Amino acid sequence: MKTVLEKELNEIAKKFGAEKCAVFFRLNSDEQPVEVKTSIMTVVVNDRNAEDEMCLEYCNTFKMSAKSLSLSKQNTSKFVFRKSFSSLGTNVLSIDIPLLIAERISVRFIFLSSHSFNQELIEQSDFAQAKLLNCALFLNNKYSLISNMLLDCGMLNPKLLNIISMVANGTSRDDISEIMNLSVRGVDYYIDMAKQIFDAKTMPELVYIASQYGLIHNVSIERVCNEA
Amino acid sequence: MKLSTILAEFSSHYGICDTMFALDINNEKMFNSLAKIKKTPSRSNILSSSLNASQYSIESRKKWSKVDPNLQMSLTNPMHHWDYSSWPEEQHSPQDSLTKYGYETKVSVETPCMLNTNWIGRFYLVTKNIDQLENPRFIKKIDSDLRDIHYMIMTKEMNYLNPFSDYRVIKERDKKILAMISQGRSREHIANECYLTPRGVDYCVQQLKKKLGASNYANLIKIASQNYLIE
Repeated sequence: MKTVLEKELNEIAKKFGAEKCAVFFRLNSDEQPVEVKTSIMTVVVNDRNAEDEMCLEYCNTFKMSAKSLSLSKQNTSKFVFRKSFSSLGTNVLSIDIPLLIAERISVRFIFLSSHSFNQELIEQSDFAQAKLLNCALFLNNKYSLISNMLLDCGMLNPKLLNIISMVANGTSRDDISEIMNLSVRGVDYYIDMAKQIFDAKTMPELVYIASQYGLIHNVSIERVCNEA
Repeated sequence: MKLSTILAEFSSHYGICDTMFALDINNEKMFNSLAKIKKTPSRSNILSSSLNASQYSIESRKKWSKVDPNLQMSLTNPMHHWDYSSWPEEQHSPQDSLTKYGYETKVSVETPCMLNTNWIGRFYLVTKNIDQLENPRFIKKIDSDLRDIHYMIMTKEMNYLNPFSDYRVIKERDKKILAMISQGRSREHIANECYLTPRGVDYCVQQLKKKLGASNYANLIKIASQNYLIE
């Protein structure tokens, strides 16, 4: 498991009245096409201190709870309070939000605080969800967390990822073979492999399922980021 | 909480009369392809903070959307003041519609859309006080709030505001076909379901490719799912 330090999270943590905050992306548990090794791969935190203990204590407990807490498919976020088991803080707030750019992936925010959270914001769930979604998209653009997660959990490899994105852009097999230094048969082999992984029958279906995993949406959004 | 209440709260907080919101297409290539198919693109859905504002927006779209030069200008500027001072005096001008509903000025402000770079959110602010909206500091101040509202709207009412269905470029049947293609259905199956001949399906797909600027089936599905046209 990797951790990334991101100062931008301080702001959102402050808004929720929390001191520490961690974010990670994960696959919706019941829709995993292949066996994955661990459910959490990369965690973004706002505080170095939070990092170690977060790794030790939370990932284990949350791995278990990930199964029991099945994500709703509606566009509502779930606010779940939990008593913490660690020395980090007494209150834990964990929020799952569905990611609009990828149906099969969700984001979990964990806030830690020694005092109570900002109840006002939590009650305005629409506003909170909008804020968190904005933050999650920003993090994904900056660190490409989704594709890293899929690469790390052994679902895809970089070559497949490349070929899928080229197929989605409408590049022909001949062109792909030239760019990737493969034979056309070799490209076909990789496309078949991708179809098998995503359980797709045709190329359009493959592209559609890849888009549900957020592999298609994360293109050239840097411009927006710089402005923000 | 309803979206109109959110917009109304925002307006009253900043002392603006009313606020309206719509999504637009930011991709010039795509917008041109729309214009070829439908000569006068006009939207049908707009979110507004009050009944008065929605009535105003209906009238202004009906009467002025085809003749108002400000419309084209507003599409390219991040912030545009809809100025009618150069309008010929003897004619009815869009300003009359504004005053009829009790407003003075109209300003449109863009917000970038992180969910899809091809889209852009556009807020229309109407007010009685001209100086307030022209102040650049004021625009800066409301900018972050506008972004938040944009996201709240996107999480709730995206399908309703989707510019492709809003401009009636993509119809219900097209969506059905796209959904079936994305499920890997064959041409014959789609033809059966939609009461078309296989050649008819081919024609529909060809038109869809033209509208969305796609080069082949896989690319078509990519663009369609990027623009949330597959449910």
